[in-house]
Amino acid sequence: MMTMDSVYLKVPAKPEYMLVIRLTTSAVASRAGFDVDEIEDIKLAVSEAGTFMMNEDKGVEWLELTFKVDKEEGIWIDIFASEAVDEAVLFSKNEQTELSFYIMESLMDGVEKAIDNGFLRGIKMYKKFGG
Amino acid sequence: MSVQTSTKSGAENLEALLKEYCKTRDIELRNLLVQKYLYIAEIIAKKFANRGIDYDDLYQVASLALIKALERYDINKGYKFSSFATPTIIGEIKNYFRDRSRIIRLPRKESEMLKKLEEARAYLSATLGRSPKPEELADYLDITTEKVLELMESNQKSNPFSLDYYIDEDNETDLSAVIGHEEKGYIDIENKDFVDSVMDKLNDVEKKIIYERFYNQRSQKDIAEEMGVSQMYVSRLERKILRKLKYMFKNSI
Repeated sequence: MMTMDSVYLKVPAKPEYMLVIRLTTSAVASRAGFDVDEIEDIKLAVSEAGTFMMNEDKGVEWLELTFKVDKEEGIWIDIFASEAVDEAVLFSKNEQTELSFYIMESLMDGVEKAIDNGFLRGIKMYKKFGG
Repeated sequence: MSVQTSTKSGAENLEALLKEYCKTRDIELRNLLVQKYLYIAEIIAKKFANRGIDYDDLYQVASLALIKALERYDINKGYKFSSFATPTIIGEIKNYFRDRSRIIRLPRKESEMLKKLEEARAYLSATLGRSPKPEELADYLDITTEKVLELMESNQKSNPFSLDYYIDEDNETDLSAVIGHEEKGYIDIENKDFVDSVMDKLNDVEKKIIYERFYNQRSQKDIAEEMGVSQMYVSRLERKILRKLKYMFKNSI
């Protein structure tokens, strides 16, 4: 069993930092050993999650991302926001919210909402090699 | 508040339509549903824009995938249409990327070299302050100049133009209108040239036989009678001349 490499990134929840998130994601995914198509998918899923967490609550100040890489297994990415979003409010809102999650799910091997007492704190996702 | 209720009832309405469609598979109803759900295709296509393929193309692919998804969707399975359609649409878009990225697939080695060539071209352009010559590229990459030229060519070939591609600014003329076709006349001229030049090398008897046989389409027997020789003789001579011509033709190309 290989130990996992971890990368942490904390950025202001501002649209201009999405680029930092995307570039970091692609750099980490490429170190992990994914090919270009997979990297594009991971990037898209992460930026979808990031934009989602950022837009749902205007009070969000920062986003915190954790990348864990296992060179034999794949990549695990957690995207957490400084503020939690009320889940009930979130999903009554519109279909776009659901669509966002469907998109992430289609691109990654697994997507999970980190829910704490009915509040959405963040999104966890992973992608395995050869998946 | 009123907006929310209206969208809510709109969603319920859509559900009812979907149910109806799953039962009847009516094409008109399908078209109506496609229109209602087209926004999903749009949203997803936008996510994949700026990856080297025009948004319009992606939207097209996504829309087609949406139709496919609708036709395959079964409301009785219990999941929402959007959850069913999203992976279908994304799958189709990814397939499109895979197919489109290289319409003509290059051998792996070739495409790797192409990348290196691009880098070298950028690097040398910057250091030389001008576009590098193929020899310079070859020198830099430690390959032959021919290889460089081949690579440049294969790069072209792997991105063929569409026949509908407009080649003028007014979008009036497309590529298919001006594309060339093989001009058979040139081959005729070359052949005639060849025949003329070899005919000079034949003696009069040989010339006569070829002329009568192939220009006047006469039979060997006919020619033999006219020349006062046996048909066997003409036949043998003809074979000999043709062999000679074949040999000369081979040596001429």
